Amino acid sequence: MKPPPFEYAAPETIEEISALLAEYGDEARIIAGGQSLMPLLALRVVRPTVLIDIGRVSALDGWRQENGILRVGANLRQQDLLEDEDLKSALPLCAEAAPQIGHPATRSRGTIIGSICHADPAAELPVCALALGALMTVRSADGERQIAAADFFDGALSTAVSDEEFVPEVHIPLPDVLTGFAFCELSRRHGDFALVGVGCSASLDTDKRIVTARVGIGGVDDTPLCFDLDSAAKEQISDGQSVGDVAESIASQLDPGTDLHATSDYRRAMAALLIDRALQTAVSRASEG
Amino acid sequence: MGAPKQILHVDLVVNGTAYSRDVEARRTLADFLRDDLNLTGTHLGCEHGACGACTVIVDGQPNRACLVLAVQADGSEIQTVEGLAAGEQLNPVQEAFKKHHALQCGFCTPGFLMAASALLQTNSDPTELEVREYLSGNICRCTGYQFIIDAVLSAAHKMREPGTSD
Ligand code: FES
Ligand code: FES
Repeated sequence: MKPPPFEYAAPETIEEISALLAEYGDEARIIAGGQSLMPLLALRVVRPTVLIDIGRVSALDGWRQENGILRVGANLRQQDLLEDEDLKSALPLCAEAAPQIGHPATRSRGTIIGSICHADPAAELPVCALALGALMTVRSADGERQIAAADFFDGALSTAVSDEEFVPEVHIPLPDVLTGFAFCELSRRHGDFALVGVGCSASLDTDKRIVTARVGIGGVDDTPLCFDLDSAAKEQISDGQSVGDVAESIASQLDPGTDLHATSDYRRAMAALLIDRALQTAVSRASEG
Repeated sequence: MGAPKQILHVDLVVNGTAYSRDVEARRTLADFLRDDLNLTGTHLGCEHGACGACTVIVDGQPNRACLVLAVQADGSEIQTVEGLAAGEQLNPVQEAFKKHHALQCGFCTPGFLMAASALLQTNSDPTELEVREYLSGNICRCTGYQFIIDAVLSAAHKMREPGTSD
C-alpha cells in the first residue's frame, strides 16, 4: 500500500525537533533512515499527522569518543558498523552483529539508534545495547534524561521514550583492555530477524578471572532480555568449568513463544547453545586482550 | 475534509539527468520514479521493504525505493535499471543475466540488477558466498537463485578481464 497522507517537517537543529515534538506529541513520528517506519507507514499501522525527518540535523551525525564513552548519533547508519574501521574496533560487538542486520539495501539507510528505538524483540542492535550496558539519551523540550538499556524496552515495539521525547544519542561505555565480546544468532535466512540472537560481553581482571559478564538475548520474549552472571557462575567459568551449565541455567529461565518458525522448546534449546557459544567466545577473546 | 495537501519540491538526478518536481510528502521514491518521471523499470513487488524488487542506487548505495520518501532523496544522485544499458547495448551484468538465463518473468530482475551493480561497484571480485549474502534481500519467484548467482559471478569476471570468455 501507499503511506497515508502526512505533513512533513525537516528540522535542522535538535531544538527544532524538540519543539515539534512538544507541539504534536503522539501525532508526530520521527524518521531517520526510515527502514522500520516506512513499512509501518505502508501497511498503515501508524498514521502520523506529522513526520519529523531528522536526517538533515547534522548535530546527530557520526560518532565520537569522550571520557571513556562512545557517543553514537541518531543518524549513524548500520552500514558504518561494517565500513568505518575505527568504529568497528570501538564497537566490536555491534560490528559482529552488523552483517546479520537486514540487507545491504536497508543497512545503507537504517540507523543504529532507529533499530534500538523500533524495539523489535528479535532485532540484533537492542540485544547489543543490553550486552554493552548502553545508556540511551532521551530528550524533550524540557531537557534531557538517560535511560539504561536494561530499563529501555517496555514490550514488543515499545520503549520508555514518551511521545514528546526522542533519542538523539546513545552512550556506550568503552571496554577495558581485558574485555571480550561475541554475537551469535540463528535465523531462517540470512538477513531475517533472529529466531534467537545472543550478544555477550565479559571483562577479566589481570589474573584472568571474570569480573563482569553479561548476556543479552533476543527473540525469546516480548523484549530483548539481559542477564548479569552471578558470582557463582563467574567463579565456575573462571575455574575452567563448563560454560554449558551456566548457559543451560540462563536458558531454563526463558519462556519463549511458539510460532510458525520455531517452537518454544526449540528456541530455548537454541538459546542454551548460543549462550554457551557466545559466552565462551567472549571470555576467550577477553583473555587474548 | 482534512487539511490541504502539503506539496514539497524535489530536485534530484536520475541516470545523469536532472529532474525537478513537486510532490506530496508521502510519495515514495519508487512511485516518484515510476509515476512522476515515467521510469517504470523500477518494479514494486511488496511496497513495504520485503522483496527488493524496487532496489535502486542512491548516492552510490543500494536502497529500497519503496522505503525512501522522494523528499528524503532530495538532492541525491540516483541510478536505476534504465541507466545500465547504452542504447541497445546491454551492460556486462545485463548481458550475463541474459546468457545465464537468470530471469524468467523478469519482474524481480531490475532489483537484482541494481543490487548486483551496487555489489560490483564496491567489490569487483566477490566470492559466491558474498554474492549470495549480498543478494539475500532480493526475492525471485521464478528462476531460483543459482542462475542469478552464476550470472553475477560471470559478470564480475568479465568486468575484471574484458575480452575473456566465461
Ligand atoms: S517493493 Fe520495495 S522491497 Fe518490495
Ligand atoms: S524472474 Fe520472475 S520473479 Fe524473478
